[in-house]
Amino acid sequence: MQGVFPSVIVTCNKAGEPNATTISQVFYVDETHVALSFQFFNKTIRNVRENPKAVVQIMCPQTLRAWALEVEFDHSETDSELFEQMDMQLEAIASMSGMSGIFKLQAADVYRVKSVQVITYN
Amino acid sequence: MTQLELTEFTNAGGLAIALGTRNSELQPAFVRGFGISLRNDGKALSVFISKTQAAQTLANLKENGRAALVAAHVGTLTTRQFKGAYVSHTDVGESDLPSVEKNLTEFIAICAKYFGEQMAAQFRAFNIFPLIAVTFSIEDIFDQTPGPGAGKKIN
Repeated sequence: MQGVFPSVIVTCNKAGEPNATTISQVFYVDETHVALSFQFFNKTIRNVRENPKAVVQIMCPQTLRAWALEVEFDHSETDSELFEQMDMQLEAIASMSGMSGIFKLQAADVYRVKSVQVITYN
Repeated sequence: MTQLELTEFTNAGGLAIALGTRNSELQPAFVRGFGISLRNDGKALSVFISKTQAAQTLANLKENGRAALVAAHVGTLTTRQFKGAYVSHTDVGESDLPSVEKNLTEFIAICAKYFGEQMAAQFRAFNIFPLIAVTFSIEDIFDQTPGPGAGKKIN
């Protein structure tokens, strides 16, 4: 979860329309929670507030091992230590990817991790 | 997005691709794609996915048909999302292999440039075959390049 490779999140609105997009930051919170950066009010943000179910794909930049995290939106934070930590990491990711001034953290969206599946192509 | 832009984007190679679907309980699912190719004069899109990872995606598509595919160029970060309805799936034939080869070759070359040869070698070691081609109609296309314009419908 170092932000080297963009992660992917798939959500679905309550009408049943899936949405797939890349996300710049998946942040480890604890053994059962991750936080995603909320930068722009987009379809992902809307969808998880209608239907909290989502799946997030992350990849280790050293080993290229990948995981699919089945997650559920829990709550949003805007004034917390978590928010500050994510804000700092997001600035580093933005700088690394030439997106300084474009990425701005609005909130840290915290998700409960329901299951983790290893994705292998060996 | 004009037909020319659509063709250029899908043929460029170097795309990181993910196909999103959902089941009857609105649980989303994800599968990685290794190439895409336009069909039916640009009215449909095929995505090439590894057969070993395809079960949930195919079950979802047969059940409700809804597909959302995101493709991001790993060099420029230009990103598009295609939404539509499932049409069919087949084993990948010889005619589709050049699309897969081009996408992966470009993808690995960009990874080698930015992240080093070791990472590129690890990508080359992926065993993605056999592949199947999942085809869906293109109903909507969205710009999802990172930034405030992400999410804008462009077709």
